[in-house]
Amino acid sequence: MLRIEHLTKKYGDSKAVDDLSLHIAPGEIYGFIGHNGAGKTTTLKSVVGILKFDEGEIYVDGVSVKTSPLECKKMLAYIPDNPDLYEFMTGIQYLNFIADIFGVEAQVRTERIRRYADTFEITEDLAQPLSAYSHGMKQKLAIISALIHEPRLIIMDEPFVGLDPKAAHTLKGIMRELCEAGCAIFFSTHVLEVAEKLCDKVAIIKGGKLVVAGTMEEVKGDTSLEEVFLELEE
Amino acid sequence: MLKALFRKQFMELTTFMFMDRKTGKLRSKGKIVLTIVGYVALMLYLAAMMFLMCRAFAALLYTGQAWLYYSLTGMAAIMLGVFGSVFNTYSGMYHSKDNELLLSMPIPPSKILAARLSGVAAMALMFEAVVFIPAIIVRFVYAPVTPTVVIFSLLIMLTALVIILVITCFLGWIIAVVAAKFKNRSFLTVIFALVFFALYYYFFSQSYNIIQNLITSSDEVGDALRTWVYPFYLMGMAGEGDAVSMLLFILIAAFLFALTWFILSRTFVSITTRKETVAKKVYREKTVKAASADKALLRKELKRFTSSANYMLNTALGSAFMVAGAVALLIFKNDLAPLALLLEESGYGDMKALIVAAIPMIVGAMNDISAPSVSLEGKNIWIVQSLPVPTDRVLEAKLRLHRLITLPPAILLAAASVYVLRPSAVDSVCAVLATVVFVYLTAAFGLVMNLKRPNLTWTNESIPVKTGFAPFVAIFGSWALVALFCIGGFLLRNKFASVIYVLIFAMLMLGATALLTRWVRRKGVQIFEEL
Repeated sequence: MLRIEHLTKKYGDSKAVDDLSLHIAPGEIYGFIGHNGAGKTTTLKSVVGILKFDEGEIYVDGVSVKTSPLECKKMLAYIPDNPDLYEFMTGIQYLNFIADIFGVEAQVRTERIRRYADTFEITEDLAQPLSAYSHGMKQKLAIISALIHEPRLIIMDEPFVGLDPKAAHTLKGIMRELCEAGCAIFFSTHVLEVAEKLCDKVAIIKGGKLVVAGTMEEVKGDTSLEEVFLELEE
Repeated sequence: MLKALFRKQFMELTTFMFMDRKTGKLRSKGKIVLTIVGYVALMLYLAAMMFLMCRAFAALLYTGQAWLYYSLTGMAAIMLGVFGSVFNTYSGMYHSKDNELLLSMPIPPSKILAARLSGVAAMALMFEAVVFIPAIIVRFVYAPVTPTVVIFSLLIMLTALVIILVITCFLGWIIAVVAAKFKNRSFLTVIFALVFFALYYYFFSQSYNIIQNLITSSDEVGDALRTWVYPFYLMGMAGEGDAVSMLLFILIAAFLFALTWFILSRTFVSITTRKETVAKKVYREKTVKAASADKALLRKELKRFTSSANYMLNTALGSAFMVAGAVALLIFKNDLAPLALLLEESGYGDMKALIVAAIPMIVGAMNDISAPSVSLEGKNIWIVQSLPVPTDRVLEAKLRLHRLITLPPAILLAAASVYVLRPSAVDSVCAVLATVVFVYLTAAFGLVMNLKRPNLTWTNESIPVKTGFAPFVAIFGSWALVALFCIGGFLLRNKFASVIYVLIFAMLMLGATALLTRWVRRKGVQIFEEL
């Protein structure tokens, strides 16, 4: 579903991401781990077409992000690390805006909004302006807006930050459900326990370079992911 | 402790002189001096205006009702003091960001309140002095001066400051309550601002008549003041050296201040820590209509525009003025009829096409809605960048918003001008066409300027809207274009018929619009995608 080939992204002379290659198959939950400034967000933003990259290629279901960005964007959804949403809109206005852009039919979107808003327990708050939302509520709304067009690939940057334990649990359940339905999820996290329990595969990035990637068993072996990560970071 | 609080409050008031709001960095010494000089110059200008007003009131000093002089000028000083400090009271006292921080420290709330009031008092004194110092100077120049009058004049100024504090605390509290209750604050602010502008222009245009009426009917005004606002009568009498009036005036002010302090010191903590009490609107599912991506993007732009009083007032005042202008033209059509006749008689009758086009262009040039539109994306820019929508459609929505807000009132004003000036049908069509093209051009020009110099890292919305490069260049560029249009039309009046000139100018503007639009769709798209 997602193929990153020799991705290189520079900021000036320094390489934020250096010759990174990854392959994520449909139905996989892929964790992306690295210290602050390792190049995780740059990689994710390159995948969703926010950042132009210098070398390499990114394919979403075989379609190049470089040459057909709109085709790729139609297939994916992105949840940033900080849910900066339009504060001049209410929750429902924002969801309808996203649904309009993705061309989701009225009846279908109504049903999906109802389902996910109920699941994340923010239905009553949808009429409130986003300026009145807490960080966690914005995060929940960003997640709902990402699910509204049933994407085939979901890119999430630290999706569990700001979520209460119940919402985090719900999100994990939804992620698993989506993957069982054939969706692929690529997400960055600093919470190694979550990655260890949730991910089918994991990649560790350091200084813009991929250090290790593979199934959870391949990467951690008999130890814990935390130990592997700390060892690689030294 | 109180000294530290006063120092912090004073720093808060004067930070704007030493720190650049845009970058958050300290200004250079040269810029600090320039800011202070500019501020002092503004105050001196206001004081000079007030001096002229006070000099007009000086006639009262010889009419046997000299006390009315300080009553009226004092009233004006109090009004300006209240107006200048009331919004500061709201934001500085009840809505200050560090209220909770200070309340968490071992500081008695009364001391926080005292420090806050000192900030309001400093601001109020500055505005009051702008009227009162010229008033004192005029009083000393035009009437006999005794030591008592000098001392009492200064005492009146200080006592009036206490009255201002009482009124601003009360009004600030009202604003805090109203602001907490109203959901649609941006529209409320726009309406307040428009009413203020209307009143300002009315009083400015009528100021001479108002002052003359006050002077000629000073007996009635004096009686009314004595009957209805006795403290102002006392203030006037004190100004003439009446010790009893001075004492009573001070006692009344002291009593009102004590009462205000009593109430504030008991309610300060609850007011500052109160959560907004707007009833939470619970979502009820409604039937929705799916819209196209273009429509959704335009709605998004419109929603941003209508949600911000700052954005509306600073970039679309021209639309309000165009509607007001059209209405005024229709109301005063008969009064303006001689003007149309004069044009005919003085040989400028064939310039009606130019005039009809110039009227909405001059006022419409005040609109620069598209100029801050890219910068206003700010930290939300990731949304449109990650959505499957072509970037040129995102930028087109910004242009459409500008046209949507500007074009209807511009056409309305052009139509009203046609109705009053009665040009020929061809002249009218060409003038309206030029108006339409002008709006398209200014929309594109503003957007291009913002794409050239975007600022996505602002912390306060007023920075891209008010102080950005793009709005500045867009406004002055539009005015320069209108000036070129008018001056060119006048100079070339013997070479072209006005209607031909308007048509040629419209075609040139159309060409420029096409070029700018092409730039937006190519280079502009590239710039936006890389932001």
